[in-house]
Amino acid sequence: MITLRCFGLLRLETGLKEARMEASDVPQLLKALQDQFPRQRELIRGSLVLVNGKSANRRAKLSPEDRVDLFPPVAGG
Amino acid sequence: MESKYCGYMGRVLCIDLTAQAVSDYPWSDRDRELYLGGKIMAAKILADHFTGKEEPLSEENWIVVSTGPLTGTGAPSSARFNISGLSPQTGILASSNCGGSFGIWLKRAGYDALILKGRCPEKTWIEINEEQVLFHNADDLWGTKTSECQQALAKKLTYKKFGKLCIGPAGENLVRYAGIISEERAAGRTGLGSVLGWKNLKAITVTGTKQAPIHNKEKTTAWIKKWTKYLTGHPLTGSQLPKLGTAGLVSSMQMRGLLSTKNYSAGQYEDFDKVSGERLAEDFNITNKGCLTCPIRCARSVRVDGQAVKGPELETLGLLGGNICNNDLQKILEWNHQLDELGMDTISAANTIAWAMEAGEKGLWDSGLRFGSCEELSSIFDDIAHRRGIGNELAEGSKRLSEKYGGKEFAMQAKGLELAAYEPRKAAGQGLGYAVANRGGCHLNGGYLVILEGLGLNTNPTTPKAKADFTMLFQDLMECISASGQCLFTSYAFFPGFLLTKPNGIITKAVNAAIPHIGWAVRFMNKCPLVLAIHLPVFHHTKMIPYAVGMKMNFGRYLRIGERGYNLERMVNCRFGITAENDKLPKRLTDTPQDPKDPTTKVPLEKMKKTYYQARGWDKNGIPTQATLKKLKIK
Repeated sequence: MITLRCFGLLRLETGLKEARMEASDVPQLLKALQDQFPRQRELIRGSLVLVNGKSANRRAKLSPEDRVDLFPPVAGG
Repeated sequence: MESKYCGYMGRVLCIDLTAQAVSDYPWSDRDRELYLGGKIMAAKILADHFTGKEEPLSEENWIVVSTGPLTGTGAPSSARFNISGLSPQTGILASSNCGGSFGIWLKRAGYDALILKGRCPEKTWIEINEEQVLFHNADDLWGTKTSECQQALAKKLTYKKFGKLCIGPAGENLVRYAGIISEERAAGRTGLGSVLGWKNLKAITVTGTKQAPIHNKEKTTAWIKKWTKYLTGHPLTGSQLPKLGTAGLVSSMQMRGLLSTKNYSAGQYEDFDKVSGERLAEDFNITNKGCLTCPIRCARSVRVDGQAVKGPELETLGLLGGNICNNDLQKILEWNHQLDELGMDTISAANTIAWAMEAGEKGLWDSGLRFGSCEELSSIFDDIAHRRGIGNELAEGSKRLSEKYGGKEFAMQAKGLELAAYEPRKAAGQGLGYAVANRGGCHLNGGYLVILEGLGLNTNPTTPKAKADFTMLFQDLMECISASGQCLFTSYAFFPGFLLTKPNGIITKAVNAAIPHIGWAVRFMNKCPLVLAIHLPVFHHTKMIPYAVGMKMNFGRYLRIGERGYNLERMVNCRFGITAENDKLPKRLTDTPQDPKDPTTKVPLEKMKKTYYQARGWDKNGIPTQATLKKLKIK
């Protein structure tokens, strides 16, 4: 099972902090999330993807032990 | 002196604290055209006064409180005012910007700025209104915390509506990083609170009924409406900042390796989520708040001891969180409130604590402070503000402590001012900004290049390419936004929204890839801004000025004013001995890679500095050349 963590507005708007999900690649994972949260579809599409803490290609393959972090870009401090 | 321009009140009030006398300081329309207002206006006034021999805690140090032409016009996020002077922390020109309503009230009293010179013969607070300036004894206010002081002032006055600023115990006791508090907002940085403390000045109130004239009311109103709509529709200023505040950056900084951790020895903190903006929003936030006329409303309101108080900004979360290995968010809320009450800069206070923790770990100086052991911190902060025991030493800041005990390589400051929460080894441009910033280690005065380097856009963060040129561009833009009287956060909407909502889109990727290769174009723009006699659709500031003020403005002129301000400040600093040698960072950031396996994860400072000086028109020693000063009409 993939460990998915959501950050920023994605977390606030979905209420999803962390979840365990089945997916063999990033598109499958994002599709499952979009199906679960259709109103946040654009936010999910616009989020940056990190796999095990490193920037990942949006078509990247996933292994069951992987941790995927999703966060919309932020700025301003 | 009356002004032909609208937006301004046309007078600068000069208060001689020693003689308890007031006068008008001459300020002409030519000055307004060249220096606009705010921090640049203050820099000009101080440049005409400082010779380079003045001491921060002396009668010769002037404090300038200034507004911009847009302050009080209703322009978005325009309730800002600036405080400048000579910093006891850095020994050079200081400026600190503050929200709240003091600037608006100063204009209602009929003044664009006020100058404080000399020293009050006794503990004093000053009352300013349209007709007079009154000097009151402040014996009963001395020793009060900042909210207590402001409440006491309200009881003393016969009217209810007024602006106020004050210092807390930290300023009274000359803590080098004491700030000035106005309502709940802080002019926190650079230690000007202790200058007021030295001058025996506890507080200032100001009231009035005047209104700044507006040049073209119809166009101004329409433009404010359009700009407000743009800001509220933008993903950063309309969504992220209102919903998460600056605190929302913690997680992204963690992901990018930018979150200062254990005194900047790392860029990621394992317990970051416990002190993140998301957790703040979920578990502690009551509501978001904003300054007058601000549609962004980035401030947080949280509950401490049953009382709704201002919540922490990103800097405080990062520096009192991972940087001292503390994962207790409730404690950070309490300390944040306590530091505001004491009138002390959270960034410098937290950094000084982190330095002391590491110095203890390395056996250089045992203050009793240890990473992750924060139970006593509240009483330590109190001791600092009152200069008691170990607090008396900590009140000096990390630079002076490291000069005394060793450990300069991990005293995380530049020119004496402690760094913000961005660990720059994975954001080279931000590192350059910290090193060269006029007021010392400031993320904003440094140009805030991190917005290109992982927070916002996603260009190569470690390459030095084009970073110097973008640093100059952003510094100059922010300089002028600040001088206008507006919040720097309005500049974040400079980036079209789709670059942020579609980070994986082809255009965004192309922009990210192109940035390191367009330094030459940015250099041209910086060198010849006046060819840009245009208004950019994403940069609303330049049209606001002709509409509200009646002053000719376009993007190029605006940029040139910012450049003039930046060079003017540098010139003043050079009088106080600043050269290229002072534009430096602690060795930890320049010599030790954050990731031992990746040698690029350190700040390539010298290389970027060289390019930066060339771009700025400064010589190899970092001194503005005569040709540069002449070009900018700086005498």
